[in-house]
Amino acid sequence: MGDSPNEHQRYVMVQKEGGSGVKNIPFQSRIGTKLILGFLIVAVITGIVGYLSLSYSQIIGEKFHLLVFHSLPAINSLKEIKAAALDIEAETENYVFSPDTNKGKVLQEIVNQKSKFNNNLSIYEEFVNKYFPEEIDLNESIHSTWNKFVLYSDQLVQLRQSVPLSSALPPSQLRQALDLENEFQKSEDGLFASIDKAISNEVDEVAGRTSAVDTAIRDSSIVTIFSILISVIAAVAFGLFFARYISKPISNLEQASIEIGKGDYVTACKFLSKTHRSDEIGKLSLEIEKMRQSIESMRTNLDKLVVQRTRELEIKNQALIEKEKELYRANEELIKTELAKEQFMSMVSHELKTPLTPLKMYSDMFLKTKVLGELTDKQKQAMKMMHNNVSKLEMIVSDVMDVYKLDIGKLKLNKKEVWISELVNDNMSELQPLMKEKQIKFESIIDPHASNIAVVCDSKRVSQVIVNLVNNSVDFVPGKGEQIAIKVPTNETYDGVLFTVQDNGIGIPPEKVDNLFKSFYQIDTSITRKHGGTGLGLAICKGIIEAHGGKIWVDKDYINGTSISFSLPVSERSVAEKKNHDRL
Amino acid sequence: MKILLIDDNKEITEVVSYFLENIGISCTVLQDGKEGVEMIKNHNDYDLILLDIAMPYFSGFDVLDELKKEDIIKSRNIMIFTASTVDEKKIYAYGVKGLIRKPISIDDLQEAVERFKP
Repeated sequence: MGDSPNEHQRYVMVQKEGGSGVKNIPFQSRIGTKLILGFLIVAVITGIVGYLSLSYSQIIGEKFHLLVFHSLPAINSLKEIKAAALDIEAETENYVFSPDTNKGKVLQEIVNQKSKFNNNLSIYEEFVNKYFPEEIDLNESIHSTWNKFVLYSDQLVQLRQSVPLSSALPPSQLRQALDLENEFQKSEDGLFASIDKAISNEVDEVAGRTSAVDTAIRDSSIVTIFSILISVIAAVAFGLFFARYISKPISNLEQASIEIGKGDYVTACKFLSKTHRSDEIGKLSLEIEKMRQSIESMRTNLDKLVVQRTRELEIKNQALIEKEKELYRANEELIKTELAKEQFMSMVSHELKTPLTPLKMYSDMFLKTKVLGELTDKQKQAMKMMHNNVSKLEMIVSDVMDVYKLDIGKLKLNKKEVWISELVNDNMSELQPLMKEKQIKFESIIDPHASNIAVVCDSKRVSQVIVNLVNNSVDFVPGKGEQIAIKVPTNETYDGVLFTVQDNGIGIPPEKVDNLFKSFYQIDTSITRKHGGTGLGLAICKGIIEAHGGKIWVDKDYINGTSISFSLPVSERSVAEKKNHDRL
Repeated sequence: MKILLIDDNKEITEVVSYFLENIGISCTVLQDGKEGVEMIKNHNDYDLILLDIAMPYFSGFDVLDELKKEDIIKSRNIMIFTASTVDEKKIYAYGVKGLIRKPISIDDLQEAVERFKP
C-alpha cells in the first residue's frame, strides 16, 4: 500500500442513501431494459431483412407474373395466328390448284382457320389493349394486313369456284387471276411481316422481362445476404458488447473484493470507481464500497487497538521483567542467607559438640569404668554432677539445634508407617524406669479402633515429643501415687490419629495456655531451674508435630490436671487393610 | 583388634585412643585426611576405621571421595564421627558401615568395637 490513508480519499465515491432492492433503479438504467432493447434492435434488423426479402419476392413475383401471364400468352396467340394464316394460305392454294373433288372439306378448313385466326387475334388484341399499349400499331397493322389477306383469299376462292380447273381461261381472266394470285402473295407477305414484327416485339419483351426477373432475383439475393450479414454482425456485436458490459464491471468488482481481502483498500477503491453505474451493478458497487469503508475503518481501529494493547503489554512486560529481576535478586539474597544460616548451623553444631566429647567421655570413664582409677565417694559425687551437667548441656545443644532447624525449616523427618501400638509401647518401656523411680502410675490406653492402624511419622522425633510431654508431666505432678497416661482415644473430630498425654497434676493456668508452645516460655521458672530444661521443649514438640502436618494443643476442657493432645496423619493403607480384614 | 582413628582434634584423639587402649585395642591415630587416605589404601588390616567428617583442609568427605575412586570403602569397616544431623543420607551414600554422633559416648565406642571385633 503506497498511498497514505488520506490520499485515496480521492477515489471515494459519493454515497447515495442505499436502497433496498431493484425498485430504486430507474427503469431506463436497468440491465434488463438494455438487454431487451438490444434484442429488439436485433429483432428489428432481422425484421427488416425479412421485409426486404419479402418485398423483393413481390417484385420477382410481379415480374414473373408479367412474363408468364402476359408476354407468353401474347406470343402464343401470335404464333397461332401465324399458323392459322399459313394454313389458310396453304388451303387457299390447295383450293385453287387442286381438282374439284373434296372442296367442301378445304373450304371448311379455311373457315376453321379463319375462325382460329380471329379468336387468337382477339386474344392478342385484348393483351395489347390491357398490357402492351405500345403494340397497338402492330395490332392495327396485323388487322389491316389480315383483312387484305382474307379479301384476296376469298377472291381466289370465288374465282376458283366460277372456273373449273380443266377449262382454259381467256387471257384477260388469266391475267386477272395471276394478278390476284400476286396480290394474294403480297398480302400474305405483308401479314406475315406484321405478325413476325409483333412476334419479334413480344420475344424482345419476354427477353426483357426475363432479364428483369433475373435481375430482381439477383438483387434480392445480394440484399438478403447483405442484410443477413448485417443482422448476424449486429447480433454478435450486441452479444459481445453486452457480455463485456456485464462482465467487465463484475471483473472489477471481483478485483476490488480481492484487494479488500488483501487489505489494500486504496487499490480496491480504484477498482470500485470504475464501476460507477446507475444499474444493478452500480448498486452492488455502491454497497461493496460501503463495505470496503466499513472494513477499512474496522481494520484501522483494530490496528490502533493492537498498537495500543501491544504498548500496554510491553509496559506491563517491562514491569514484570523488572519484578522478575527483583525477585531473582531477592532469591539470590535468600539463598545466600540460607547458605549462611546452614554454614552457621553447621559450625555452631560442630563447635558446641566437639568440646563436649572429651567432657562426656572422661566423665563416663570415671563413672562407668576403672581405667582412670577408683574414685572416692566424694569424687564420685562430684563426677556424677559433672556428668549430669554434661548430659544437660548435650540436651540443650540438641534442643537449640532443633529449634534452629525448625525455625529455618531444615528439620528432616524420616517418615515411615509406624503401628500406633508400637509407637506407644516403645515409649512406655523407655520411660518405665523413670516412672518406677518416681513411683508414678504410668499406663497407656489405646482405643480398639487404633489397634491395627499405623500412622505416618518419624518415630524418633515423635518419641521425642511423647517423652518431652511425659517429662513435663513428671515435673508438674505434685507427688507420689499420681498418674500419667498416654491415650489414643476414638477420634471423630480431628484429621488423623489423636494422641493424648494426661496427668492429674496441678494443671496449667488458663492465661498461660496461649503462650505454652512458644520458644523459651516457661510456666514456672523455679520449677524449670529445679528440674532442668531450656523452655524449648514444647516449641520443638510443636515444630515436630506441625512438620508432620498435625496439630498440638492443650485440652482446655480437662480440669483434673493437664491434658495435651496432638494429631498425626493416619496411614490410609492400614485403614483399608483393616477394613478388608474386618469384613472377612 | 586394630583400629585406625582419623580426627584433627588432639583432645578427641587423646581421649578416644586412651579409652581404646585401656580396653586392649591398639589404635593408630592420624590427624590428617590425606595421610588417612594413604593409610587406608595401603593397609587392609584394620578391623575398624573411625573417620571424623569435619576436618579443615581435607575433610572426611574428601577422604571418602578419594576412597570411592579406588572403590575400597565397602571392603573396609568405616564409621564416621559427625556432629551434624542433616548429612546422614549423604554419608551413608558412600557405603560406610555406620555413624557415631558427637559428642561421642563410651557406649557408642563399645558398641562399635563389639560389632567389628574379629
